[in-house]
Parts: sequence; structure tokens; C-alpha cells
Amino acid sequence: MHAAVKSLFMFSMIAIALAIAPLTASAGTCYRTNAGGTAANFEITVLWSGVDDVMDQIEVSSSGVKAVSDLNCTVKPPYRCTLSDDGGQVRVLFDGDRMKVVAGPFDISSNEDKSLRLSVGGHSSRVVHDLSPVAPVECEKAFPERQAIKIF
Amino acid sequence: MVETMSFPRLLYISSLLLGLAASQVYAAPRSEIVQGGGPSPEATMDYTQLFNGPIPKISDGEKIYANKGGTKACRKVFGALRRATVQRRPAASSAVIVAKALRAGIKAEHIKRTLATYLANRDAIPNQRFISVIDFNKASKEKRLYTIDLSDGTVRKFHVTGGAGSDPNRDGKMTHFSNRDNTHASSVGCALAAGEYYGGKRGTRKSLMLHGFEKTNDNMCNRSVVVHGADYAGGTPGASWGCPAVKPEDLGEFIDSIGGGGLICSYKDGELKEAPVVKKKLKRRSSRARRR
Repeated sequence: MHAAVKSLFMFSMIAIALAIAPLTASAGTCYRTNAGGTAANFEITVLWSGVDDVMDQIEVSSSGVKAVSDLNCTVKPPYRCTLSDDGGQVRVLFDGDRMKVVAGPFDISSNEDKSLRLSVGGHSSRVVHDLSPVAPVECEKAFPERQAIKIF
Repeated sequence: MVETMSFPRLLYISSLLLGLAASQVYAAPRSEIVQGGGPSPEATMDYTQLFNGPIPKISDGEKIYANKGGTKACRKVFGALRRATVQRRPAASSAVIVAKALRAGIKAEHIKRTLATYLANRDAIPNQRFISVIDFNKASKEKRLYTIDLSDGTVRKFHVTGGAGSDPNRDGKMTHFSNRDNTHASSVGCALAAGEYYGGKRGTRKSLMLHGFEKTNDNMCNRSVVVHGADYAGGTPGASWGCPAVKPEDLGEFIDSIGGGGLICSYKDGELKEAPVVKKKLKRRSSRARRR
């Protein structure tokens, strides 16, 4: 009886783990600008999920103000991503393990509902931001909520 | 603790946990919430009797994803929509639906085109319960977003924002529409609403993706034009960047109604007509070619 209980319990735990596994988003990789290494004192962190059904994300902080937006990116390089908050575009390039974000100047503004909105300037002036990979723990801290897209 | 637990109790807890996990993963899709069964009488109706004009096809929405075009998230969700097994659901007659829609203030042309699009594409629309109409002829302070319950024709109205690029004067009158990035303009045409996610701002913003399948709006998803909640809905004209945002308190009801692959069509008089200039140019070219 004892063995049966134990095996049943183990089976349940394995089943639960298998069932929940698809719900958890893939870790992905985060990239961040080096301290002081970008124009206009912006610190940029990008989550590159690498999974189709988890939106990539970008966090831009400047003078203690932080704004986060989804990045809806193309399938193949050169990657072109649309900021969900703004509809503006940024380009993402990879050079070895480093990421370059090419975009017009970022701007953080306040919506009427007091939430912060991230927007990006037009094509006239482009800024290249150089980003390096960060540790998974830091990545988790920067983007704690990464949920898969629910289709149905 | 496991050692001291009785077998029936352990079995009960295990089955509870299993059930909970299974319900999260294998929740029945909305398209399968079918009551009754079999096609309704109007399913076989000739939709051309309802609307005398070109009816968009959902399959046309695939063009933008040819040669690995489009974004990965949009591609994934639209692909899933196209592969979905759709079960037909009984609906009220077209006459009842149109009559109730007209009574609620929806223009005849809008409800008829939307319903005809639904009937023409019925086997490719996973959400068979609701359709939705946006009338961008109306000002942003008016309730211009409608959901129509196909089971009995019940209409619900909501405030919805238009894009800042569509209303450059910020006077509430939308004059410009676009399918292009960075325009911050709204798009007109029919789309499927599917793909819910919590995006941006620490994952607190619930959003519903829109997949346009007409020439005027097939770039909607790639532009990140989504339904989301916004306090400014019903207030400041042209406040969004092209997204049809609704009041935060309406978001849940709207997503529950039209999400999971529902049809949503946006209209502005004169915007869906083919430009006659293009036709003339094509004719001239072809006559030159004949002369050669």
C-alpha cells in the first residue's frame, strides 16, 4: 500500500510538472547598455525571448524614470521591431554575443492615465545603442512578467 | 507528511491538483463552446443577397506572411487561427441580427458587410458567437464600437479610441487612415481578433491582437495595433497610436466577447472603395501594350 501511495504521489507531481511546463515562458536572453555607454544617458535593456509566442520587450530608463514596451519583431534578420506603445520602429542587429539597437531618440512621456509611454523618434536622426548580454538573474529582475500569448 | 497522510486523502488531493493543472492547459477554446449543433438555416444563405459588393476573404491575410514576412508573434497567432478547427454554431436569422443592429444605431451598410463577411468566411472564424463593428464616422466621445451577439442579435456599445494620426486636428473627426508603420493612424477593414497577452509596463497591460485581412489593414498586427484598455477612451480625440483602445472597465467584457478569433470590422465612409485613378492607369498601360 505504501509503495502504491508513493508512486501515485510521484506520478501526480510529474503530471502536474508536465502540464504546467508549456505555460512558463522561455527564459530568453537579456541585453543591456553598458553604464554610460549610450547617448542621452538612457539605459536600455532588451529581452530577446527567442520564442514566437512570447513578445520581446524593451525597457528604457533615464533619470530614474522607466518605461517598458513590447517589441513586435520580424522573423528573420535584419530584425525590425515595432514598439507596441508607439508604433515606432527600431532595428536590432547581432554582432557575436552583442546586440545593437538602431533607433531614433527614445522619449518617455506620460499618458493621460498617468502611465508612462515609451516612444521612438523618426528616421531623421538615428542612434546606435550597444548592448551586452546580462546574467539570467538580472534578466528575470528586469522582466518579471513574461507570459505566452493565449490564442484561444 | 506524506508518510502520515491517509491513502484516500492523498488520492483526493492528487486528483484535485491534476484537475487544476489540466484545466489550465486544456481549457476548452471558445470556438468549441457549441450549444445545440448543426448549421443554422442561414448558414447556407447566399451572402451576396445581404451585401452587394466585394466581400473580403480571410485567406488574403496570409499574403503578408509570405517569404517569412510579418513578425514572429503575429505569424504564429495567425497561423494558429488558419489551422483551427471551427465548429459552426447556431445563430439568429440575418434579418433579426440586421434589424436589432439598425435599432442600436449601426449603419445598414456596416452591419450588412460585416455579416456577409462573417457568412462568407464562416468556416474560418473560430469565434462564432460575436461579431463587432467600429464606426469611425462617429466622434470619439460617442459609443462607436459595437458587439453583436449572433445567437440573438443583442448589441452592446462601447467607447473606442482612434489613432492620433487619423485625427491630426484633434477635433474628433477622423480623416486619415493608414496601414503603415509610424503613421499612428487607425485602419479600416475587417480583422480577426485573437492572441491575448499581458504586455508592456511590467505585464500589466492586457492586450488583444488584431489580424487584418484586407489591403487596408493587413499590417495591423505587425504594427502592434491591438485592443487594450485606456482611461482616455471616450475622452480626448485621437489619443492612441492607432490602437482601438476601450475603457479599462470594458476591456474584460470586450475581450471575452470578441477574442478567440472573432470578426471585427472598422468603417469610415469612402475609405474602403477602390481608387478609380489606379484603374485608369492600368487601362492605359494595357492599351499601350496592345499597340506594341
